[in-house]
Amino acid sequence: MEFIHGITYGFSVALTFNNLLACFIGVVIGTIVGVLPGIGPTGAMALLLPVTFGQNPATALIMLAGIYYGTMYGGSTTSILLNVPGEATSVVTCIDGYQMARKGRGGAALAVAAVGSFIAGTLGNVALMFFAPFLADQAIKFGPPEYFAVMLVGLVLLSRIGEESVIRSFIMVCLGLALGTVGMEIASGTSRFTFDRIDLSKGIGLIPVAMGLYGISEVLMIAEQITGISSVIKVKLRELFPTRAEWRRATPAMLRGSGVGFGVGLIPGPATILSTFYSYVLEKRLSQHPEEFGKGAIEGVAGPEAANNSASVAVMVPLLALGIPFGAAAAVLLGGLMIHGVQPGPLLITKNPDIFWGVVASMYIGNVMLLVLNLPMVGVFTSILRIPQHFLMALILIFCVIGAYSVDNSVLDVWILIGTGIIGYLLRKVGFNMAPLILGLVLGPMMEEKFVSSLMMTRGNVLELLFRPLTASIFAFGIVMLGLPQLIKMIRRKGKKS
Amino acid sequence: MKPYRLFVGFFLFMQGLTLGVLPIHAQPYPDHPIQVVIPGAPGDAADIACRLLIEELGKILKIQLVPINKPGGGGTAGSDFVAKGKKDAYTLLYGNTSAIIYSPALSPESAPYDPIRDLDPLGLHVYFPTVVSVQNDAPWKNFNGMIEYARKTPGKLRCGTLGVGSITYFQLEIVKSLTGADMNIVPFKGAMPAVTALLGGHVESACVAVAVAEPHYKSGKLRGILLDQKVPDLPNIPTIQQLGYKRDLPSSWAGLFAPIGIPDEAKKVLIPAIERAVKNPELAGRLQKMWFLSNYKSPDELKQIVIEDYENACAVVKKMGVTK
Amino acid sequence: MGNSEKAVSTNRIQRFVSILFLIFSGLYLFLSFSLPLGKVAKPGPGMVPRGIGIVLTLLSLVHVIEVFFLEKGPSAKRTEDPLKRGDMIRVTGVVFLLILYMIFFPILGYTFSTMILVGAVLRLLEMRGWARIVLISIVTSGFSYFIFDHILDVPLPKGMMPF
Repeated sequence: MEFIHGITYGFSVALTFNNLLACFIGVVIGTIVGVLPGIGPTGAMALLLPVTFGQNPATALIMLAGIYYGTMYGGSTTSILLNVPGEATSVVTCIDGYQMARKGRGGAALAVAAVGSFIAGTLGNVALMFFAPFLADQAIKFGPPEYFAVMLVGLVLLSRIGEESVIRSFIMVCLGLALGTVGMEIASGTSRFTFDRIDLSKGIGLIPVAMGLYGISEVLMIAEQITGISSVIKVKLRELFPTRAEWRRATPAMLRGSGVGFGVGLIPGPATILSTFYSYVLEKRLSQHPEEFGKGAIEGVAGPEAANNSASVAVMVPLLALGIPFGAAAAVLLGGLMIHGVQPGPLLITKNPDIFWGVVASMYIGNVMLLVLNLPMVGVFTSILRIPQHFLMALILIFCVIGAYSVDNSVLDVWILIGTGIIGYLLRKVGFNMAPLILGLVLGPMMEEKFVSSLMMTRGNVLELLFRPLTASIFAFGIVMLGLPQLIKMIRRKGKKS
Repeated sequence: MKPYRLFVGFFLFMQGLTLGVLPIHAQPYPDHPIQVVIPGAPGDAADIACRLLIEELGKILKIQLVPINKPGGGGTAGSDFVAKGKKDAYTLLYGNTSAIIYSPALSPESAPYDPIRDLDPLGLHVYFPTVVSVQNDAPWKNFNGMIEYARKTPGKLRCGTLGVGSITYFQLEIVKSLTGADMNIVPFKGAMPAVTALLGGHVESACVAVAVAEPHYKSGKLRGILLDQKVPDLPNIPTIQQLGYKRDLPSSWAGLFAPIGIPDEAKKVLIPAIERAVKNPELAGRLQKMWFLSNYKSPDELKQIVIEDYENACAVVKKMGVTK
Repeated sequence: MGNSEKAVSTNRIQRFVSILFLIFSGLYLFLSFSLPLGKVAKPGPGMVPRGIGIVLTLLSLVHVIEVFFLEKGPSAKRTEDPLKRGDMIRVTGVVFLLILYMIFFPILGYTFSTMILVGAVLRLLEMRGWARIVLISIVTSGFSYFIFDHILDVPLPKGMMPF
């Protein structure tokens, strides 16, 4: 009963002209920021904080939140069309999305991404509405050892993404982990592998690496094949939208992605990126046509795109229910709240119901706005593909350079961009998959931090760590998941024999 | 011929567009936007305090101040950028204690600038009070109680805090040496993870900024037992000197700095403007609600503070053997 | 016959890359030894890198064995077509330009470096007409600079140049 009361109140807040406008501005900026490489939701929200100063807290948060989940919509655009991940969360979308675009199904991919994002965002919002306080309390039970366990299990399970050879994918993961160790180590203040360069002390950023490995390497691959005649795939208008068969395949993937994304989003860390990885691997495992993945399987776009949207909603759960941000973007949202004199914390829901319910209601509205904005734009976006390839490649280069630089105003990031681009090209020629490297780079630093914290917590008593109930169950789960495919194969073989 | 003309034409066009950037007309300072480097990530305490300050400062100077985040190395990346950058007074640093004092003291090799000689203080802005918290239903009624427990069970009392370059880590080391209690200091990557761990019972206490811990006091989950400085709205929590110990804990602050050698005319404009902005009651009130205590200190006072804090920090580092 | 030709030429690069991996892991491991290990109770900054280094070196070793002795290259569907002469020139050309770009970026700043890069890349990728190339390079770099630096307040490095 309380929910009905709350949500109607929320809509009454969200449907005022001011807040509708704030929501609209937020989602539009979010989409644009998502499309633009480099500057991500965190940077955009920080940039726009001053704009919110003169307004009341609910309005400010509505706009900032709009930017946040809006970027999850826009990020897929460049990933699908150009193989340039606009945001870190869209890296996985590059894998199948770009292949779909090359086959002329780019419009379908974009549409599926938009609709998937909408479904996920809305469903996630429903979960937020009902379960926020409960979920937040559960999330607290995870301490450093549990987080480490979750990430390690995730790392092992997810590293096989798109790759048959175990050795190769693990090499890439370890490479990513190694890259992640560059920089200043937090527990001791020591600079590692920085060769006395102060600009390396912040480490090797994810965005320049992702853009380099996917975007720049793609430019090099196209440079290899270009023939001077612009090869353009002509796309008819009707073909812009997914066929019924594609919808049939995509819809379950979207639903699964929403679920997976929300779950992963509740765990602190790079939730939105991880959610896309989990969704992709899940889809591949469950698919009737696993060999299609990597060549343009629509589930490989629908699942991850849905996942990152519901993950972004899930991130709001601990933020609104407990006042704890589980990621950089959430931290900026928190900062925004504090600037407006709102006390974030467990009392937020009861003391500032207008903020909680207002934001929840505005997220429903925002998702609708985004769907309405993005679907028609599919046609506009696909026309990007009609630009002659030379020009497009030059534009992509500029795009990536600005993107890489603008993350932290660092020239080094541009160097990393180009360096990883060249290396990525070489590795692709030899058949290596980039995704596990990104996974390693994303998870590495956090894993190490939790690992060190765990050991320091128990003064080195590893057994004590392993015997923590939650930790043990996570590891057990991981072992089961690892062994499951083999088990299923064995059972099937036995079944065939009889 | 034609391409050449086109080239020249556009080149001149570009020149025209960027005329505003070139210092062709000698305008009084400041005549174009000023960059303020924040040596931390967006959403950090220093980031929020800085953004609010420069919004006010911008109104006073009638020019836009653009915040730029340059995280890395516990604040050293951003500080080095400003210290070695252009000395035209259009690039300033919003330096906090991590960047100016503690990171250079702890890992001098990561800070190739001299915080005293390379940076010119323009004015102190805020203090960020820190507090040691425990769970509300913890068995210790107050700080002394907790220290008793720690003394009896060396190594079992865990206190979460930020990483080694941070002031909270230093504060805890000083507490350890003042009280003789063998606490287990567990570093986290940021204040939030430390508080989250405390909420979940994974550590027994945490030392973080008041801003981060206080919301949980209101909700009854946590309790504060030691402050590093007196905070007006938290009269019941003592500071370490109030408990009878001889020295006080160092405090975390932030203020504006410029590289040494900026023109005097610029300083003449900046310093009073900064003073006005910091003392602005509306801004100070807003910051106070977030537990950031505005407390203007003039450039000379700030320089003294920097020198003292830095010397103390180096002494602690030596004594504890805290270096890597 | 065509297939085996493909496999052989890729295999040469394969072997090269696998050796590179081994060298890189060895270097990483070596460097990580200069970091303090710490104890289990208080891990130092060297603990995790050493672990990663060891795993990485072992994996690279296995990979080298796979590639050299077991001739286990990537499956056919993974490899791309072998490079023809003209392609190689273009790709190395772009790579070279990118490296030059990296070097000059901090000196010439964003606008000029990008202008030159775009122009050179367009020419390399066989766009016709110098006039068009020059026009596009100037307009794209100038326009993007204008939008980001002036309108969006995202400052782009100017190096030693005025803009």
